[in-house]
Amino acid sequence: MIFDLEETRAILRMIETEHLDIRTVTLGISLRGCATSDLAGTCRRTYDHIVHSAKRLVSVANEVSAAYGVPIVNKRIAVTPIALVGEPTGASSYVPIAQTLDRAAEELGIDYIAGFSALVEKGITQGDAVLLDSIPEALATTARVCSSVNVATTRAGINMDAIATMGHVISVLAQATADRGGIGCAKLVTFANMPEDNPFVAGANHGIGEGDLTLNVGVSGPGVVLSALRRLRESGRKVNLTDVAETIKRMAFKVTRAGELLGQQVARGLGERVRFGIVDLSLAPTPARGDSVAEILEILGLPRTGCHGTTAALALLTDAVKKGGAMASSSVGGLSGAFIPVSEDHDMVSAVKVGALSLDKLEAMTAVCSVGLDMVAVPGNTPPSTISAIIADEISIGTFNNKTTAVRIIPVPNRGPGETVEFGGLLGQAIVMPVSPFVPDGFVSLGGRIPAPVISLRN
Amino acid sequence: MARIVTHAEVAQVPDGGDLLIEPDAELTPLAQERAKARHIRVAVGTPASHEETVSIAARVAEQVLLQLGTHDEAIVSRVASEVLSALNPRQAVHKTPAGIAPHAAPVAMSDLQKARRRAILTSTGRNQKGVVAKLTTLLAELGGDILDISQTLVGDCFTMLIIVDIADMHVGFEELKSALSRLADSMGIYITLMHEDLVRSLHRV
Repeated sequence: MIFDLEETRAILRMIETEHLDIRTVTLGISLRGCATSDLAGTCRRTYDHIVHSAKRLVSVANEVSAAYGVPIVNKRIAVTPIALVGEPTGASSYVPIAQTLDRAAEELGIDYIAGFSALVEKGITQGDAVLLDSIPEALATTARVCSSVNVATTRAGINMDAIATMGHVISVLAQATADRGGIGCAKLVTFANMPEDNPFVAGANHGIGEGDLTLNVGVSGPGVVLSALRRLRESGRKVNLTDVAETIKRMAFKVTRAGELLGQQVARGLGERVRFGIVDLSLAPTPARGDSVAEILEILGLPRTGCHGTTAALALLTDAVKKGGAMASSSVGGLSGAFIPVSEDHDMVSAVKVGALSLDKLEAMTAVCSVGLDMVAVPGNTPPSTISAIIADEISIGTFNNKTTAVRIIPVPNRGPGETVEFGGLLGQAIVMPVSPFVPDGFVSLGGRIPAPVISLRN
Repeated sequence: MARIVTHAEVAQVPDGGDLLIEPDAELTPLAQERAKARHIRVAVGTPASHEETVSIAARVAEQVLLQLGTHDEAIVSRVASEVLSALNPRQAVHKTPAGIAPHAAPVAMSDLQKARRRAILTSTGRNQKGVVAKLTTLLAELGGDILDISQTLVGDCFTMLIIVDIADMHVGFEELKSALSRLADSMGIYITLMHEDLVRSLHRV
């Protein structure tokens, strides 16, 4: 007999009590064939193509999920950055395209569709400018559309003009959704080194180097890692950080394998035209208790996430996750690492509440985790230039360290530091964090480009 | 490219009505949901013209009456018009057999099934007469083929592991699982079932 009872039990335990799930299967759809010189025509073709391509995504994912007993939590769609699709129309607003994406997603029973995006790391074309202008209205008038803007790469440097624009876009968007706590900003990500195959919204998009249809999988499992570490601590033997890293690596291996297996099955079920892309192994928390990255850090002996030692612990965690994932699959991609979306992580919210976790510490943590300042609430009266400067700091960490970083920041209208805002569902609850009172207007208004770092000269 | 039927089209059909779609058309998930909620029957077929329907009704009526031994033009036309009015208001609808699910999963699904040929069944509990017999009988009845089986007894408790080929089973994986859980409940034992490839991919390098 090649299997034993303990192995099958371990899998059941992971699924039933440790929240092992496939966080998302995301179908990437190329819209390059949908661009026309007329906005209505582009919208029509976009709608038809998306609805055709993804018509069975939900039913196939549900079928695979039922057969394996592993939940597939979200089914989502990523499309070609819309700035590229919209540009030939010559239109002065892409809001109708966003509304088209929203209708297609509704028709398909999908909660988020991402890719209302522009790539402006080196310069802004006419189409990019229209897209940036359209973001506030597009996200305020749709429920399912997510947007992302890549403002820097290690190879190109940092486009400070774009970052200055983003500060305004975010402020206007927050005001446009003021009645819902500025929730529009939860659907907008500003990136450095944006991956082309990231399956996680809001930052997902279908990169221009991708094929027609690609299925990418995002796996998670903070709960699985947490339980394994808890068992390790309770085992009674003397444990050091090398043992911890080894345990995390093993769990990451298993989680990735589950993700790849189910992802391959979903891709196969969707037919020959769909290619399996990558597994993104990211420890992505949810507001549920026991599904928290902060709790993992705390089980390592940190009294609260955000205290001294947090960056080191997070570095260990992120690296061990990547090593386990790289061993498990040859198609690891996307963001892969650990997410620290503040409002979506129950224990991280608690850490902010007691004053243990500040914006500055979060920024330091993002140097070693896989994303950046994610789901961070700041006061509603934060000036656009301060928001731009926060973005510039975060983006430079990514650009100068050859990694992805991103900012998803919400200036919550009419709220000040320490106040709470409820976003609901997976977006959770946020405590407004204070920002520096010194406004860097002069620096942000300089504009131009921060040249690419010397590490970009690799040829 | 198959035509997509969206919820907007479903919205035009009255509650409890019929929606006729072309053989290669497909309903979106939202359209399916709305159709179900409003008790709209979805049929696949091609609409027949009014003239065709009239001539079919007349022909059938004539043949039936011939078999009954009467051939009166007046009776034939009377029967034909009765049939037509009974069909009304759906007289223009020429349906293929009812019950064709619009979302019926095509060929790709059966590939999916094949890829998951084998399942691992584990069972534990207090030892009692007939555990192996009942389990294996159930599997055999449902068309499963046992490839390997092992059992260990420790004191009063048994653990059993069965690898079963599920490729030719008459029931789906979910049904098999619920049949097993009913058996487990009736015997007071614990049974789990999962696809072999899941166990293999999580535990083997």
